[in-house]
Amino acid sequence: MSRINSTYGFLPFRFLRQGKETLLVNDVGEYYFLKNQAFDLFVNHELETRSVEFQDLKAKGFVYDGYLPQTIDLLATKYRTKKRFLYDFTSLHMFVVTRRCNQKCAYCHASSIQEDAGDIHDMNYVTARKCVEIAFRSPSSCIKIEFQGGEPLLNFNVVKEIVEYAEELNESANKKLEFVICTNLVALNEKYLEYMESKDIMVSTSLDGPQHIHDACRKLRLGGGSYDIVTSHLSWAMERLGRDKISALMTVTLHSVGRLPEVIDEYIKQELGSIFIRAMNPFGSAFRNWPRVGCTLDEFLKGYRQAFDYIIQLNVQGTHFPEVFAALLLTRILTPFSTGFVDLQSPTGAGISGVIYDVNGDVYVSDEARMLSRTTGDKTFCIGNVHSDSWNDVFCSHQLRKIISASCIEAMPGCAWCVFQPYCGADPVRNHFAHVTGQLSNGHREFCHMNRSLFNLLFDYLSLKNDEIEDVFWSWITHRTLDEIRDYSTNIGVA
Amino acid sequence: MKSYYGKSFNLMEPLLCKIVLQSSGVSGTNTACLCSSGWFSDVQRYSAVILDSSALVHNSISIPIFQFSQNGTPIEEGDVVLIEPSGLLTVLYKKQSLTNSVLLTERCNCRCLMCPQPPRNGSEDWIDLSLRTIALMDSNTQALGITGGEPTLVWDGLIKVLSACHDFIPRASVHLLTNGRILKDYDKAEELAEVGGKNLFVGVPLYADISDIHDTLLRSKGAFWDTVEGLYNLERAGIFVELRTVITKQNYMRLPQWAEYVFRTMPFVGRVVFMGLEPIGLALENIDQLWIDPADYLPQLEQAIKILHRRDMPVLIYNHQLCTLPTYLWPIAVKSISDWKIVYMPECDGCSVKASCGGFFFSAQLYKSRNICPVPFVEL
Amino acid sequence: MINISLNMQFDSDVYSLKAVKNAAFDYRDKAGFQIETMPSGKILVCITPKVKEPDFIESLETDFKNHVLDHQVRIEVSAEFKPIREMIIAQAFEPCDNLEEIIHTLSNE
Repeated sequence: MSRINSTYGFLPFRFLRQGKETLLVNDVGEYYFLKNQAFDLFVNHELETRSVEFQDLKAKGFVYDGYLPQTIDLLATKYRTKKRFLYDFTSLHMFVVTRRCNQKCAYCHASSIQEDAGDIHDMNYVTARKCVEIAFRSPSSCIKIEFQGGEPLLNFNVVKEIVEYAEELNESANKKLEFVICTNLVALNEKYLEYMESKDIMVSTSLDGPQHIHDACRKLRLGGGSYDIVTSHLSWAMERLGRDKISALMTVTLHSVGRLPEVIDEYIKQELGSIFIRAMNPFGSAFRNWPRVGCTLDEFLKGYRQAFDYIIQLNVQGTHFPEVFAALLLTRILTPFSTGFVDLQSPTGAGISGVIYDVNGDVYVSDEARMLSRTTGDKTFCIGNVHSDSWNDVFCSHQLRKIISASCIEAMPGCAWCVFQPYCGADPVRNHFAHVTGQLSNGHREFCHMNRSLFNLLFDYLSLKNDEIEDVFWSWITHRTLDEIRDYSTNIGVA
Repeated sequence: MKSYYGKSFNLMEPLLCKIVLQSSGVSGTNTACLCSSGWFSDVQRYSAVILDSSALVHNSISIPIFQFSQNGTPIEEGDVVLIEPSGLLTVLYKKQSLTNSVLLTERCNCRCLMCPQPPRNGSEDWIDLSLRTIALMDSNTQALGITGGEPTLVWDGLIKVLSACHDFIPRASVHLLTNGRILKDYDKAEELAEVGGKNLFVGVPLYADISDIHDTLLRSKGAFWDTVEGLYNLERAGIFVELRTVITKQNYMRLPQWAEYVFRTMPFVGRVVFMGLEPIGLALENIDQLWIDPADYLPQLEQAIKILHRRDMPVLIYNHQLCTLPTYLWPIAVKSISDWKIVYMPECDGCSVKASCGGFFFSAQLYKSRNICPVPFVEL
Repeated sequence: MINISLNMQFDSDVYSLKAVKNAAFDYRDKAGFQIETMPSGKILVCITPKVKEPDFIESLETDFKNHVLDHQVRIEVSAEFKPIREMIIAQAFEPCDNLEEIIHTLSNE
């Protein structure tokens, strides 16, 4: 801590030179663009302390000149706020209610099986109830139950059982309880819709784009594309449940990567309020079908950037339409708040923020962990079974601890000095998979390249310091329209 | 607090009383009857009698009398006044006003360059008077300010005052103005929350995003970090915080950065307020160091407000005349000057929005924006 | 196919071995590295590009040198703030009241 002949000292930060400017990010996620010459002066303890740059760096927590104890205390509070997700512990509980599916998507990472395969591929009532009990043992004040599969609607009775048992347990637990069903909507009927409406269940569905793109990969198991029935059921569900209860995602393939703006247009046409543009997961059918439907990471990134630019244009012109993942990353970059996103956190969210219960009661740290097991038989990331293990056995296990402590990117080479580290996270399952298969997805390298590219894209936009862009970003983060962002009579200070 | 000159009779010590009308039938200790027309026989049941300048004073009356020197009686039923033997009547509380406040002390732990109420160390504190005033306030009072000096310096008195507010004016939003430095002791913040409850709102000034500027304006080293810690404790204790800044030559350039700092560091504040300088007291003495025309800091002010509004933070503007602000900001510009302090300029005659404009401080005659001009009526 | 190799030297008085290694780590997908330290105080680096693009190879020497320099800056700057970083994390999860004392003790060491 000795500073030789210096009037100021550094607070923890990372940096990256980019053209004429250097991007600095500190441990609590505050960022600053500094001209290269000023940066060189700064690191040599020669930056003029009365300059605007120095004052900015001081206010943002990159440098101190006095009051170190108070500064550390303040940064500690901010750091704790950023890692708030840790205190909630496991809040996302995913239930694989069946492995059966009525679709046969070319890139299905869940390795789903045919609809009439029989109910040994379904979660039964006993297992379901045991999983709910385990879920409610979590200290988190908020429990989000997500139904997955296969296709959850094919085992709706167990879905209902889980909802009802959870509500029963919640009478004394008093937690904030949320339900989401991840469904392709094909099997939707009036009975299911009515139930979902009555229990306020949200829907997450998949729409890959206009018909020729969607049907290229998302086929019904009995044959033919699913676009017609999916879009018809989608508008039915939106009408009954409300637009804000439905969200959609798309999986980028060879068929769509060069024409994502068409996909965006389709989403607008279907009156969807946002999009989550996802790359294919390298598990399950995707692993087998990659040459036929997969695109390279660079192709994906090029396509994503094109889609993002298009989305920004739409927003600037007045259509409120966020890209969900980008909005999450922007919340990490631009606000002091913690964002729980189990797939990208440090330490990893696997297990400690979210878990998945397989049909037989096996507990996996993440959906990817389950897919790893389905694809390769590797059960490294299975942390127990609800029938044989208690909550303690599962969540306080040596195995889980090992996984978590190996997933703190603060300590991994490459990540340790990466400028985007405070916004990023680890994926131990993917790394492990690459290690085991030695090919296809190069685990950490591709994961890193993907995230880095997204951060670079967002920071490219932020470096423009453009009012319109900032209005759009904040409209996403605060869930308001551009008009509301620009109208001061909506300000909540107005009594 | 407005004061009026007149004549006092039969008065040896200052007398605090509530104004009543003969017709109300209320009398007893601490009541002063406002006699608008003539005398009446049982005037002795009041503690005092208040007359206008034209009335005749009867020698036979032995209770204290105050007579206004000028025409008219500018006080109303329900007001609480302090009558002094010297012939001074001070209105401590106006029932019809929403901007009443009690002054707890004139002592302070800072020496702000722009202090409108210069601290006087060694002067007495006003706890007892404040408590007695509160006890006489109308029970439906909607709002009361607690000011100083620095009210937290008389901690026990402050707690008693908050307790009295709870007892006598339970519906009032109590607005405590403090620099928050003493609240860096969490126990104090907790005590404040306990006695203040949901009705307590705390207004804290923070003049910059870095200690150099803030401490220089307060002429007190360490003030910035004390206040930041105090703010965090207020949040922990669950108390509503109104964060204020006063715009001066020293801090206007960093207004946008200050706005970002507030969001990043204290996103929990209930409201952010941008205040124009009140050219009174030390602010007037130091005006050359402090004054900057609002027309000159408007770009920074607009940027700062935009930064906060984007982030969905409640923002208000105090002490700015509407003609100095672009119309899109009018929804958040508040009539903030206490009603008894507002004046308008000659230029304001014929202004179409005069009624919604907060006007000026009396002392602003010499220090007002070059942009002051009436807003024309618009043909619809 | 001729394998192009680039040889560079770094003065270990100016560049730490750690900076060279960290820089090499960042390039590991695009090049292979052989790093040796000499008794003379020089660090020898032999880079074999995996990527064949002429642009990459042309600017490789300058880019890599700059990269090592940046890592050297990171190491020096981190050495200064390392205790502060640790205190921040400690204070975040196990807050104590006597930070001032601790800092005073540490700065006297």
